Amino acid sequence: MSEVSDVPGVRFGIAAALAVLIVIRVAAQEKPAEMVGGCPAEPLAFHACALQKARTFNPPRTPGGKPDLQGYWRSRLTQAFSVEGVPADEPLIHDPIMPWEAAPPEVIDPADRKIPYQPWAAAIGRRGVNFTQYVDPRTTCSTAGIPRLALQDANQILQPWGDQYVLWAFEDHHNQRVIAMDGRPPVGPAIKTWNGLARGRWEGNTLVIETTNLNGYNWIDDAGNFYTDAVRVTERLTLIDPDTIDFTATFEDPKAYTRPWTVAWALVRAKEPGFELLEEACREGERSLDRIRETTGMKFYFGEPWRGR
Amino acid sequence: MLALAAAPASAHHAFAAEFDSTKPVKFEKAVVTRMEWVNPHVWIHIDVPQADGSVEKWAIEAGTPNVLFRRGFTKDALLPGTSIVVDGYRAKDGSRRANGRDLTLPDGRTLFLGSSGTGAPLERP
Repeated sequence: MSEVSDVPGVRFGIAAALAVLIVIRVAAQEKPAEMVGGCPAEPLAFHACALQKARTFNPPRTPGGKPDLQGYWRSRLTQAFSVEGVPADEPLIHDPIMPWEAAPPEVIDPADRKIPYQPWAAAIGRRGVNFTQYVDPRTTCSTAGIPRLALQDANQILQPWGDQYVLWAFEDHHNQRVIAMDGRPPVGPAIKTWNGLARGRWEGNTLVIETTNLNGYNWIDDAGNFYTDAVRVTERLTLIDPDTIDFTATFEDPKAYTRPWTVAWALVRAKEPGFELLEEACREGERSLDRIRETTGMKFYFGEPWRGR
Repeated sequence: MLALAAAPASAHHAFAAEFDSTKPVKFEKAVVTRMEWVNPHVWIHIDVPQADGSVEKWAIEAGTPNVLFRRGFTKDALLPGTSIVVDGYRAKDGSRRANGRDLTLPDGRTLFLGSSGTGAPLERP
């Protein structure tokens, strides 16, 4: 298979995405909107451009002939607040303590760039029950989970000789994922894990990672958007130039959503000399959780709002 | 301006709930006594001189040490005895802790201590 997978409805959203960019250009008149990997700096427009670049870019290869994605990477075109974006009139932008910032959605499909929640789930995500009643599990030093880990701090991709595994190490609370590339069957659904069990394969020059067996104990973003333990997350990583990866993640969860949906961003190589992942021992100096619980009454999150469904 | 945010910083909604946006504080003549270089947040301990000659001890919460380190701001940057100007918001429980916003060093450079920021890392290749 040589075609890079496309996301349905991408073309519909391009006009809207470019309109967002025009607004950004007008607002920041000192210089033109920046590009990432030679593509526009907005998730939907970036991804559409990246698909075109991927058609003609021939990536470096491992000794076994697989695309070589190794190195240190950072996300770009991302914000951690809400995958549905932060509009310019969002009141939290003016919060004096921890202001949000206006930003386009990372959701690129469906065309309205909102998570296609089932009605019960829409009341829990999207700054609903989760955001108002529960402490973000990442705040408690739990893993940011999949794919949020690839959005937070720097990460490192390793492809050990033999191409039987891809290792993806994350600075954020020092997590790692081992992606089996040998076609082994998935384990049964009774096994639940924090970072999921990943099975990878190559589709042309794209690394496709299917992750299942997630326990649903994580949020997708600060806004409390979530999935249940029934989710399958499919990530696609494609080099579009030596230092830029087109990244997408598609969520399928028949318990929470009415249809699959997809986010996109870029991973850009960290090239500072001597760059390495640093230990991020979140727990060592954590001293706020007791007070947060006492003063706000917020609970710890273990998928509690949806587990009864 | 030494900016702190690099990787997409989370708003850590729950952390924000610990502090009181109606209780801003600003210390013009604070003196650093100790810097705690820990995850997930660096703590800057200061002495705040009072009019009567006494000293109040405060703790200012800043961002993550790894981000500071990559910006060239190290453990030696705020040695005990350094005079700083710092502002922020006081903890809701009334203790002498604040969520730091801006810090000004003696040479006039400012450091943004807060945890907000969009996705684009400020370090470029």
